Amino acid sequence: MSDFDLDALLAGAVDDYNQQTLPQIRPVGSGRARATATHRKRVHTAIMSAVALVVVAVPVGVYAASDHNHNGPPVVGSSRSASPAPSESPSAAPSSAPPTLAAITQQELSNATLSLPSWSDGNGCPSGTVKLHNGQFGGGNVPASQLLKAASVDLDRDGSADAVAIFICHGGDPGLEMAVAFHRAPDGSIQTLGKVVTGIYTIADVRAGDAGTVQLQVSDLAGSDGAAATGQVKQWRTYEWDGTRFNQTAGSTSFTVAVPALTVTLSDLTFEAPVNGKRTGTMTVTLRNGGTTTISNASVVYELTVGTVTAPTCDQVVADLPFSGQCAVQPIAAGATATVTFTMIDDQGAAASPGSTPLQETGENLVQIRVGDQKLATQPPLGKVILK
Amino acid sequence: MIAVSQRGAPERASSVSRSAVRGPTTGPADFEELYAAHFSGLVLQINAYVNNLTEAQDLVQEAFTRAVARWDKLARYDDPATWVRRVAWNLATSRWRRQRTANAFLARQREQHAPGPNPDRVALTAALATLPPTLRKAFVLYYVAQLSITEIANEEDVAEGTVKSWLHRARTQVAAHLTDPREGN
Repeated sequence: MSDFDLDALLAGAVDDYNQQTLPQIRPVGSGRARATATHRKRVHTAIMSAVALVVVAVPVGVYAASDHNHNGPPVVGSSRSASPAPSESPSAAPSSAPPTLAAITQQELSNATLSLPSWSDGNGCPSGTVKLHNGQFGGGNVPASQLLKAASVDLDRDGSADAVAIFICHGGDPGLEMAVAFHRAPDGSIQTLGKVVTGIYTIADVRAGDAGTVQLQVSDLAGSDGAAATGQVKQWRTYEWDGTRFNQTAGSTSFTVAVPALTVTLSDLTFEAPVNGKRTGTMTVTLRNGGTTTISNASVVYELTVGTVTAPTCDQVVADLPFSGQCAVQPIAAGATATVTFTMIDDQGAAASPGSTPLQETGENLVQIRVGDQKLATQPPLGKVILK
Repeated sequence: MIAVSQRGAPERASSVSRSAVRGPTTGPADFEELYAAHFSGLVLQINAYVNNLTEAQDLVQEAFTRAVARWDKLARYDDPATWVRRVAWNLATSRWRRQRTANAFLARQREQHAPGPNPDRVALTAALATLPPTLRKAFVLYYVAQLSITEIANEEDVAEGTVKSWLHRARTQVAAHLTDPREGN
């Protein structure tokens, strides 16, 4: 095939592709982009505000010393669960209900008529009496909603399995989530025990804990944000029913933590001149412990897309995401400094033109410092990409 | 090696305007104008790369969402469309989209706007799917986005000769796939 024929073939195929595909494109609209961006900002602000409230209300020392008497994450419980109607309020006495009542299964919930508490953010999400069909409900004049997952656990310790279910309401991007507890009434019907938690961005999973507790895996971000897949903090939090409401009894109460003694700085990411078409770059994370006690559980979570990280080798944060990882930092003694040096190869031409470019403008890049399962409330700013 | 010209494909009449595909190189006055001028063109590019029109539209919409979130800054750029294009491509080439695709509830919620692909579109995108990502991206940037070899070299931070080599290999493989009788063409 001659060059001319080859070009004609390719140009024709591309032109056909363009003409056939263009009519099928349905722009969602610039207004939707604005709305999504505004919603994300609003949710982020709301979460940060709620987290701040929890931090103020429940200092770490108080949390450690208290015994199930503090409030959990934002909007734990509701007016409904705080003051349950007598007809819906189960007896907390272990002997008051027969132990032979059938467990509530996810399959049963998925096609049941349930009474849902109000959501943390109105947005028209369906509450009150809702009828589920294959786990779906809402739609039409109210946002489509669904049951994501349920787990059996004997919350009221009456000898029969209750259930905690995670619901999502697609009233925004990525949607509101809520965990609700149900129990079996003596007549066999499903009654609402109360709202376990809502107002947390993501409730990813649910499982039974010890001694009538339920554990929820919660996250501060949803996966629809580019950095969320790597940067989102996931925690298992434990909740317990006290007869009138759910309280958090274990696990972190905040996604962020302030560690004033820990000072973190990031160097620029500097790529040397290319050798055989590849640049080698380095970036250093320096962590200094200015306090009087050892910091033993710090880690550096990263997602760096401007090249391939060749060192250090760290734990994978997200499956099949080679650009990211979580690097545990050796215990940092009081007054000591630890460094984590990233070595990268720009083998994909991902870096920008020679010069200096803020790292955050070169793609989805993230460097996040964590202590335990919490991220530092104040993260070090990203440096620049410097190409020599 | 077949030399690739600065515009390797012969000029031909097309109902797809250049602005719809690539857009002007100067910055539009506002976000709405940027969106209107570039959304479809970017979807064409990303769809040719990911071979999924719904996903391509999601990726481009996400790029614009990120753009409007920092529009105060982008509006001062000479060419904010370039920023949006790079973000869209970063999303397309990163594992972000895979992560999002794996997000079951979003997938269940996704509306299916587009009818099934017709054979011609499958032919090109199927041919592109056989290329390694680097060659596929180069082909799309050159033939669909209509960037020049120099622009692609700058964008990918490689020598122009490297881009020519990529395009030579991509052209040959795509053409072979398009003309392979086993592919039904």
